[in-house]
Amino acid sequence: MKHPRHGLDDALSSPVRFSIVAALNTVDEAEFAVVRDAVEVSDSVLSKQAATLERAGIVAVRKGHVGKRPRTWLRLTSDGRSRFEGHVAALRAIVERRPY
Amino acid sequence: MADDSPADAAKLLAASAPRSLATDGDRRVHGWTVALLSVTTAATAGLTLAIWNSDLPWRGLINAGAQWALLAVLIGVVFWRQRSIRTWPRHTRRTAVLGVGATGLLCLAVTTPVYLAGLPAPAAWVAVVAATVMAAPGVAAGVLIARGRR
Repeated sequence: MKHPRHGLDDALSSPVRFSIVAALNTVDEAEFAVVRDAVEVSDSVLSKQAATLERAGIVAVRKGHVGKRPRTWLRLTSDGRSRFEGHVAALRAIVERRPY
Repeated sequence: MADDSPADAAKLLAASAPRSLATDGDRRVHGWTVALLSVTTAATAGLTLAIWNSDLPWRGLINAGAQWALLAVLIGVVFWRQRSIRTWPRHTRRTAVLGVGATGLLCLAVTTPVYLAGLPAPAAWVAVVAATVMAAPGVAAGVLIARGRR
């Protein structure tokens, strides 16, 4: 029998990264500032964690402009969405103390 | 944080389904955009259909004006959306593509046979009914997006 913690995704083990991905899971795409305000982190923390999630293939970052203002958009990749769901399923199994 | 104890896992689970980042305002903007694009496209197709093969003076000019108006609305609405929104609510892209795509396909399905067969222009009321039918999928998609899932 395998303990459910083996199903946890290392890339989502940080509470900040987990919160970013959980927030992005509610939308198709969101502007950088919206995610920053929702997760209550600074620009630099979100930027660093988003880059980590992008390297892990969980988040996709899109840069653009609206008028002269630069805007950055974040979204979950389809792989990222399924990895988040797997991570949440593992957490649920831990809480319910059942095998994963 | 050791996230493999039941208590820690429970804390993370509680944070795993936060309130949606999408606001009602974003949903309304996306919904109006899809509905406006569909209504304008269907109205242009309906007008083109109504004056097709008719002996209306300035027919070509009216047709060209309608096409330019359609282009102006498309650009204006997309620009307005880009400036107004901060999120794309869940499934908005898919619903928008399906709605606008279905309206576009209906426009082609209704107008192409008339052009190819060289039929005379239908009565105005027929063109209005055709435009309403063509706009319907896009408008329905717009309403679905604007209402969204709370």
